[in-house]
Amino acid sequence: MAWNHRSRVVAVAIAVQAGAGQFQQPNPATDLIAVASATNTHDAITAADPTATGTVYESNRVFFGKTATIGGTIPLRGPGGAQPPALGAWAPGRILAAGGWAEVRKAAATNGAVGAGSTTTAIQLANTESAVDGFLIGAPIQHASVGAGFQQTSIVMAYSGGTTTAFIPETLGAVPANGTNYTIPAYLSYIQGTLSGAPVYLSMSIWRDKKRYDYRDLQPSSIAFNVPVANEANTSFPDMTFQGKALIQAIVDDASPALSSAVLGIPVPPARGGKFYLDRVKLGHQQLGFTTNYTVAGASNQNQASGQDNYDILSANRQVTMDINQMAVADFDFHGREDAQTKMPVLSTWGMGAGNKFGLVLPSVCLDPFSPGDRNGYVSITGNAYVTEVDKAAALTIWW
Amino acid sequence: MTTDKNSPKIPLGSGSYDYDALKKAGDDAIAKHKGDRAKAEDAIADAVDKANRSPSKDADPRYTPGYETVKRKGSTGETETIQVPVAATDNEADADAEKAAAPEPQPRSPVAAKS
Repeated sequence: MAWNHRSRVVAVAIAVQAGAGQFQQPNPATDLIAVASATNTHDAITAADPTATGTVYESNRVFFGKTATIGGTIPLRGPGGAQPPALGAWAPGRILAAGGWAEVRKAAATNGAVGAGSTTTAIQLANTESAVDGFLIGAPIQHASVGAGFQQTSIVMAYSGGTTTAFIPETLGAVPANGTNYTIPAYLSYIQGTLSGAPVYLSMSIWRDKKRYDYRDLQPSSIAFNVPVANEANTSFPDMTFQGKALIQAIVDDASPALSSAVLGIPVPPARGGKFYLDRVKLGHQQLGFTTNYTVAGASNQNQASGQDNYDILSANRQVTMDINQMAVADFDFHGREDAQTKMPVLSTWGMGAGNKFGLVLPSVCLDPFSPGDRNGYVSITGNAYVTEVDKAAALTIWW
Repeated sequence: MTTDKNSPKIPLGSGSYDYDALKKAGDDAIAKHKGDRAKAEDAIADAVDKANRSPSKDADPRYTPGYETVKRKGSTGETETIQVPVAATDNEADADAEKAAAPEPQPRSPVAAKS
């Protein structure tokens, strides 16, 4: 029948609210995000009526209202274009903003001359760089000693403002020579902050063919990056999966908007031809994951119609998962690092073209015990790691 | 992680920042309070707050006109920055008087709007 709605026709748009409770209608022209899947489930808030009915049956429950759980998987494709989009314009980044990630936009590339004192893990930058500690965490940096082609870029994991030294999560084959040029390209970076300030609230529209579901006050309950290596045996892409709590704003009849060819024309880059370093050692691996789980709730308040204030993020935990090729102890000693709880950085870079090159850096993690297993006939070692830093514990960077 | 323990740090919180504006704000704060790490970090925190281009910031009541930034000692002894309402002024009283004198807006009839 012509009025049946088709499940494959899905679109999602997301907008930043001016404040809690202030629904901002997402605009299909500017706010669509390219999702692989979306979920929007509605839950009842009910209370059991304790009244005895004089029968074996309980009283009908009292209906307090509805809430919603929203989720989606976003294949990681950058904004593309000649330069980073305006602040807040990259729609997937709005989810990160709601999760307490700061957005930093560098509009144009800058060059500088390497100073004296660089090492294979630190580049001495020009004294005109920022004097603020940590300023360049998450910034991409390019130098001939870092590599060639796409691999010429590393991501800064720590930065000393007093000495303008950028520490990188890899070990270079040669020390960058004094006086040679480095480049900090134009970039868009999302850096996990402390959530000391209230993050933004989101409004979201989910179209399912001819019907649109609008939500407001979305706060994420989880944000996860999954970066699987793409090859013959594994043909999946890096993605960002999110889930959150929201309130239902409206459900209306509205035809699903199509993604523009400008968005669909940007390929989702597979994780290959890039870099993976653990503790500054280049390792073969299959998967890197980084998940932040948030506890979201609203404080009790009898003055509110719903009996509670707006959703807040109350707490969060972060976990890293890795699936790595087993290698000789002499090459990388997991056991020793686990016992010593050695703090180490993780770096993953991949991409295709300007504005579609990604870096995920975790400046400091320590390992849980890793266990051997099988992956396509090879011995793998899988396990979890935990970030040790509270501030700037992770950065997702896109560069041009 | 290796950083210079004598350099002030930058707290980003959650917001949107232009790289150049953020760099200038941080460097200016350090230049102004050279040698005083605590003051420089306070100044950087203020500068970062001002550099935040988060769309929701302007609508946050903590940042609306009529509020001011003050510093106070937190429960752990750390200096924290908070926004508090400023006392009512004559201008505000005048604005209230103007508001009281203005005619009440009339609700539009949906029927009239359709025709």
